[in-house]
Amino acid sequence: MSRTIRLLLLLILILTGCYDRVDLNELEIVVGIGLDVTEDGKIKATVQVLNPSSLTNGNSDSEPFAQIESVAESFTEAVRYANLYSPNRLYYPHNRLIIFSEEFAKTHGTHHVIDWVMRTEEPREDLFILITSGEASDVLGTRFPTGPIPSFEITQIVLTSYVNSVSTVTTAFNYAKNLASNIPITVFGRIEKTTETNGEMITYSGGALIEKHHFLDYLTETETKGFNWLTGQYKTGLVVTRTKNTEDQFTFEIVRNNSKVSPVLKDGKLTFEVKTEVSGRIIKMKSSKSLLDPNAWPGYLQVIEEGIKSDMKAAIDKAHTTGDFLGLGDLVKRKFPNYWRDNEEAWEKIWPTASFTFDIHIAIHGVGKINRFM
Amino acid sequence: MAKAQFTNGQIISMVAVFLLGTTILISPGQNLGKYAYLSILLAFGLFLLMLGFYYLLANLEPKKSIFALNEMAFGKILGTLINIFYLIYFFVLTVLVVANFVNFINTTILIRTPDMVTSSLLVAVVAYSVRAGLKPLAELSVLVLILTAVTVVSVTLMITEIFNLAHFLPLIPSDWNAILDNTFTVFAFPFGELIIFLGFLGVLGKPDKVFKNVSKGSFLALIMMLLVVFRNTLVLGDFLPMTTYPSFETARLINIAQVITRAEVFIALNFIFNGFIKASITFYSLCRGLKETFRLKSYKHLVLPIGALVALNAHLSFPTIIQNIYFNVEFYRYYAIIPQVILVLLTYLVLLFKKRSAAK
Repeated sequence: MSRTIRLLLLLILILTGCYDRVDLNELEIVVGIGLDVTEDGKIKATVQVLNPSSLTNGNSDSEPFAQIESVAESFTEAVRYANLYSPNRLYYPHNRLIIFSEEFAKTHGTHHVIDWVMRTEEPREDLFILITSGEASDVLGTRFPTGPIPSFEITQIVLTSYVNSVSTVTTAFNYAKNLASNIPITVFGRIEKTTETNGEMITYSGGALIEKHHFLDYLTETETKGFNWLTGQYKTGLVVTRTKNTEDQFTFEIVRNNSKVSPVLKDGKLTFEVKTEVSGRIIKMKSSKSLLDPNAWPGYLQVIEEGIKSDMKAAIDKAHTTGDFLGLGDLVKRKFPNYWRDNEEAWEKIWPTASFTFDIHIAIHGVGKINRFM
Repeated sequence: MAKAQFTNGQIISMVAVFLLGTTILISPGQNLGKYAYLSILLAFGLFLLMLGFYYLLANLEPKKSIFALNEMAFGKILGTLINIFYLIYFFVLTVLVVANFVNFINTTILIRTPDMVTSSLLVAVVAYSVRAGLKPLAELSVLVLILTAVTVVSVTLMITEIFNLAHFLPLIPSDWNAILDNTFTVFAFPFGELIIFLGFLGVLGKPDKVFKNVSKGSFLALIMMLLVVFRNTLVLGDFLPMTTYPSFETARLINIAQVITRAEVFIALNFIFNGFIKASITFYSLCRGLKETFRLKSYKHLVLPIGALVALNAHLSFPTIIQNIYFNVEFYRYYAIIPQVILVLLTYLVLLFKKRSAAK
């Protein structure tokens, strides 16, 4: 082969890479999506994109983000048609979250959105999925004093929610895995926008139950805490309770824990064993005197245990009315496959008759850096 | 020109990279989900048995390839016909590897690039390397194996945070028929495909040395394959059978403090290197087979036209991964078992009979 031909072949290989280029300034970087339903029942997709020029030039006249709205019959069309209102192509790999309005989850269902996330190459599978009782576009457009991009701030709220464990964190992948495992109900994180006297506020607490594809009900903070305990997702949080004899209010901070539910099958009877190990510290007490008396601690342990147990029971009671969102069926399917095969059809009738036993161990591992109360 | 010498490491690497080739991306026995590892272990057991037969066959005439042995066993006419059957199989295998490669690129990385462009470029590089002979491929295999091992281990370490041991429960499968059925598939793809090496065994060295290294390479591939399958199951759970490329999907879930993400690019690079080596080895064996069967002086002038046929067939026969999977599950395993097991055993038995008769 002559040198000229070799060179030409090399140029073909090198230069063809440019034909389909997309420069960064020709992309609209999507960071959040909100999904609502219009009055005539169509889908309204709100896509939040970055406005980098505002961020880099310190140009306070323009917003650092923009929201593009698009209405269509189906989700994929709505997201696609959003490009009609954008000068540049919408680019999804940096999208952090999808917020569903309750109405959307009730009428259109959440599954085709997750199908799009899992099937196409641009969206990330670990994006957060949330639900709101109001307008998703409204939540998405909330201004935060802490940062210029609402989607980034909401993402941070979700990431730091482990501090209280009163909410739950669900990604598109978690939901897809639940659907693949035939887990009937998935719990989404619940986000709400409220208007207070000092401005708009976002609260991220509680949860929302999605039965396969559609909205079912909400979980309260206590029920969500119970859900987190029973599914091993509880991270850290507080137990605010009172001592039995003196009725002194005190606060216990949970620092570490390990919680697990195991199904037990004895003589054909199904029960669930909840084993929880908790370690934490007392951070608030009425008086220093009671804190400095270790003999009084066993009394504290008992009420902390009751506090945790009541959270768990709240979640179990809720599951009795809504269906098995605790994944108990999945536990039985994995541990007792034969029993599951025989009873799968009647599971929703069987499991509410199963009793729960609680084995909760609390360890107080300190009182913090000071041993008196201010 | 001095005959190329292959080191032990090069043979081990070539075998390991060949077996890992496409399995690094498409888990063998994937539709079994958590029980895929059982199929892999059973298929490996069968493969070791077959490897023993391959060894016995190679020892009958140490310097001869499967093509020469077929002619010795069945005579010129029948031997040539059997060789043509082998050549078609080697061709189909090369097409499958190229199609796997192209389907992956066109599904995940270069969505809008026509598949003919991707397959032509791959085949051009493969053809170029095959023209250069086996030695450069063997040298490159060592580097690719190291890269593969580093990628497999580092991706596994980066994703341990979301491992869930419960994904393996229940431990004992209820449907052993499905596992045995899949064992058959896993044997045909990838283990049985090692028959390709019988097309150029004499080039690698003496059977004793070669088979010792082939066994080592196979065990190495098995360990890495199991590591990949265990990792994917621990991460994906019941979602695993729904994914087209489980390792790629697993790597996409790596997210360390929102900083280390998008690690799937390493899996893609890994597959591109492994796929290239595997396609080159199958293509090399095909070209050598054509040379021997049709008594040509050299195979080098065949490389480009056969390469064009491979690219065209990959484009026409397997335009998407669905056709590829369908062909693998519904047809390939029944078809591949003929050259991988039946014909090899037949050749061995006939040659053994002939040798013993001659000795009497």
